[in-house]
Amino acid sequence: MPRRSHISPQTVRLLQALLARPGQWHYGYELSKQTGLSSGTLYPILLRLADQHLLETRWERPQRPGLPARHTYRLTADGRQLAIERLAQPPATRRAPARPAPDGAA
Amino acid sequence: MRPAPGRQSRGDGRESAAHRRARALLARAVARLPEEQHDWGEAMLAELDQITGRVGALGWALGGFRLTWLARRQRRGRKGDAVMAISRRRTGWSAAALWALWAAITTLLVFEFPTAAIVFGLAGFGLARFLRVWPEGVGALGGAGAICVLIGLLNLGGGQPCSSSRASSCGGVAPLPLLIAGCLLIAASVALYSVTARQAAR
Repeated sequence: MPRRSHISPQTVRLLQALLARPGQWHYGYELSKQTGLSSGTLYPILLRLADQHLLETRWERPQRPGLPARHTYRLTADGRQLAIERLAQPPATRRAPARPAPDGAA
Repeated sequence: MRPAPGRQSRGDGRESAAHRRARALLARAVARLPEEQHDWGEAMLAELDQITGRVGALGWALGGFRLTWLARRQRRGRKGDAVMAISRRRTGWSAAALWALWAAITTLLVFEFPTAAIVFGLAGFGLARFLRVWPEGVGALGGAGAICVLIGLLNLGGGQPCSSSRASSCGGVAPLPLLIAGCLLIAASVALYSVTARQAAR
């Protein structure tokens, strides 16, 4: 059975924010404000969730010329299901999704 | 295909000096990100335009360094995992035996060259940490056990009262406790390594 690690309170906050409007694409800065997480905490979590295929990402075309394209995020179906399951659990028993085994590992 | 990201300033000439500095700082962090995670750095750069305060922009930029540090560490870990997955299958028991040898040499050095023993011991732990071979490290118990057995064997007949003089002992140490401890350590190292190697493979 794969080893499972505890889910961090920061990840819980992020999942809550993403789950509040699950079908909608979210911006990084908006998520940072909603969760109170700094960029150095938020982006590593986003990256990890995307690696685990729990988060979809896409580049959104700029709304005005001269502005840069923005990266947006929303939970995948798997991510949504997992977030609902994890957030339904009492805090002491919350577990993060298992890390996928490295390529070629037994 | 994604649109051009936000490495450059917003281009309307309204960017503050603080934002320019934050952008330059963040760009330095992004440049150190692993290639496959470069998009995440560009994503952070693009969001910088949304931040109004000086402190906020600086804080956002500094977060880029943490992202870079964590991403690089994760990549090193993945490489290490892949290497260890291959090497563990081929050399698990050999590595445990090497650990035993390392422990035996370190223990022997302690008697004559304590400083060298400390340096040798620390170097072994450093190497183990670098190579992430903790399950095999259990083999060190076997090495310590082997030395106990060796000393016990060399002292067979020692630790007994001396009949030819008034001294209470003719020297040496009682071999039995050393032999028992040595055998237990060797058995424990083999059993523990079997268990930890099986757990690590899961």
